[in-house]
Amino acid sequence: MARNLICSFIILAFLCVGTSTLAYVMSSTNYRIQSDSLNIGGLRQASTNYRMEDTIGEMATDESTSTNYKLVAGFMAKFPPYLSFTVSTDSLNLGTLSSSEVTIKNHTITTTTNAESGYTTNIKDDGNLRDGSNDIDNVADGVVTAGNEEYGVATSDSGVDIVTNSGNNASALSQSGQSIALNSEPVFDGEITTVYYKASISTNNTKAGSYSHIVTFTCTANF
Amino acid sequence: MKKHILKISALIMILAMIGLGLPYPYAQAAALTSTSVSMSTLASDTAANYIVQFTTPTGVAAAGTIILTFPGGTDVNAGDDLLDFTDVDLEDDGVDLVLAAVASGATWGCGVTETAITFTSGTGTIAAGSVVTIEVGTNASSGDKQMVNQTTTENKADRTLDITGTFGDTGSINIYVNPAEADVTVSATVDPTLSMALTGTTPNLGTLDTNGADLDAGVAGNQIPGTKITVSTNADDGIDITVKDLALGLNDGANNIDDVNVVPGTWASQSNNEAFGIMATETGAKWDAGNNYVTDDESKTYWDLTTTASDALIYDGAGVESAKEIYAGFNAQITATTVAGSYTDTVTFVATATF
Repeated sequence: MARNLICSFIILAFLCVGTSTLAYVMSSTNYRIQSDSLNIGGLRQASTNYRMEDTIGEMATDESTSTNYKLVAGFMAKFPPYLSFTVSTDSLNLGTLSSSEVTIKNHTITTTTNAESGYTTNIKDDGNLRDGSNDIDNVADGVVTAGNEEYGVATSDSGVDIVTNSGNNASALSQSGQSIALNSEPVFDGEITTVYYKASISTNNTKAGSYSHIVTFTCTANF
Repeated sequence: MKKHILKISALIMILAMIGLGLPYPYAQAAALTSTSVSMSTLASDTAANYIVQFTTPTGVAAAGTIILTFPGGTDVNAGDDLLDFTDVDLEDDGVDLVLAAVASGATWGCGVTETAITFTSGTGTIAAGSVVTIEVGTNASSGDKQMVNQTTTENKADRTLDITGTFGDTGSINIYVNPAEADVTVSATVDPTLSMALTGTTPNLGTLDTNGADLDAGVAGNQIPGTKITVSTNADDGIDITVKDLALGLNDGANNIDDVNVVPGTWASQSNNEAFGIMATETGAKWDAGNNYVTDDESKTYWDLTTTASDALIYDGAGVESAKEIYAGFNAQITATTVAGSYTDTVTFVATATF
């Protein structure tokens, strides 16, 4: 009797280990299984008037909440899609540009989403930093150099189109979107990306004036 | 007397209770808590079910209203007044309240417009501290129509869902459609710059004669003394340089040498008159180390010098200038009747940038 009990316990333990191993994101070149579980049944059913997917045999399913969390447990449990995208300011003044140093200013963008494949944020502008027909040239060599008329942006993120911030390096903006922040996983606690703006002017060759342009960030959650 | 004391004591007690904030029967507006909104899809310009939830600290009295005003562009009534109270559920602590188009008794009225949903109580009430849940769309118990999300552009302009109403509590929740956009206006200032430097500020014409400097073409050593003007500016419309002098011109006390009498004109055109004038050129190829302009061109134009700078424009720029050099030369001649003496004049160059 005792031996049977021990054997049952060991088998149960293996099943638990096996279940936890299976409940993991699996992917190959051709597929990605975001979540799975080991149950005793389940089926997609349909008729003229309805369609239903169900599972049978899951343990410890239900909704539970506390002050700090909300849990919806179970294979079929789904939270509604969520996206929050905030920019720390809607205006950024670089101040008076100088030919003797590179002006650098920054702001942050914060993204939270439960999208399974994370998010991608692109940046674009509505034209060069300009004052009427006069403009500040976009950086062309990847680095904003004091004394040269150059303007560009860098990001705290990596693996994106816009260069990762270091020193005075910068990427030129365009009216086509370029990625500036991304994550391939859900982001639940607000991922902060810092956007750096860098500019310098050429003595006497950059015309006096008040320059501006609009930079647009587009965040796409990948559900 | 005892009665009066009792009355006064009671009045003091009541005032004290009010002062201490003890409960008394007046509704108090408060901020809603635990506000949330969830959508079945965040996709922009796409049909979706909405769930709005909040806790009301004050509750809703009979005949009170709760108004959900969605951000501009949200198509609450599905475009053609199709969505109505049958597509909406109103729950008080998880219990469905009965809805109709118009409130009546315990039945709550539910009006839907393009951008708002208004719940109106008849005799029903919601207790303070209740969790209110509003479901709109096919997630409602009888719902068969859905709202339509904002476009991304609409959402960028306005993403606030406001919860108001006569019940007094208020709250707002941000809604983000997918993709979500945000603009940042980047600005910068480039200060105006202007500089001017002179080289050769004491040109000496030497002893004058009746011909002035010999400007015959091709004659070696022909030169006139001058001043080099170096200017820089980032003015969009460039820089003008004008010149003026003191009232008496080239003078020795009360005596003076007349300005050029043909203005503007070549030196040869000054004939046999007294003449004092200035010429200018942008090429420094014939500018020597002693600040003399070596000229072999008698066709150069000379201007007279007056007390008004605008009379003599010696350079008319059209854009930014970086260390632009302009060369000005002076020439003078006398007649047999010119009074002997040492003649001087103070010439002022004026650089005006047009930004």
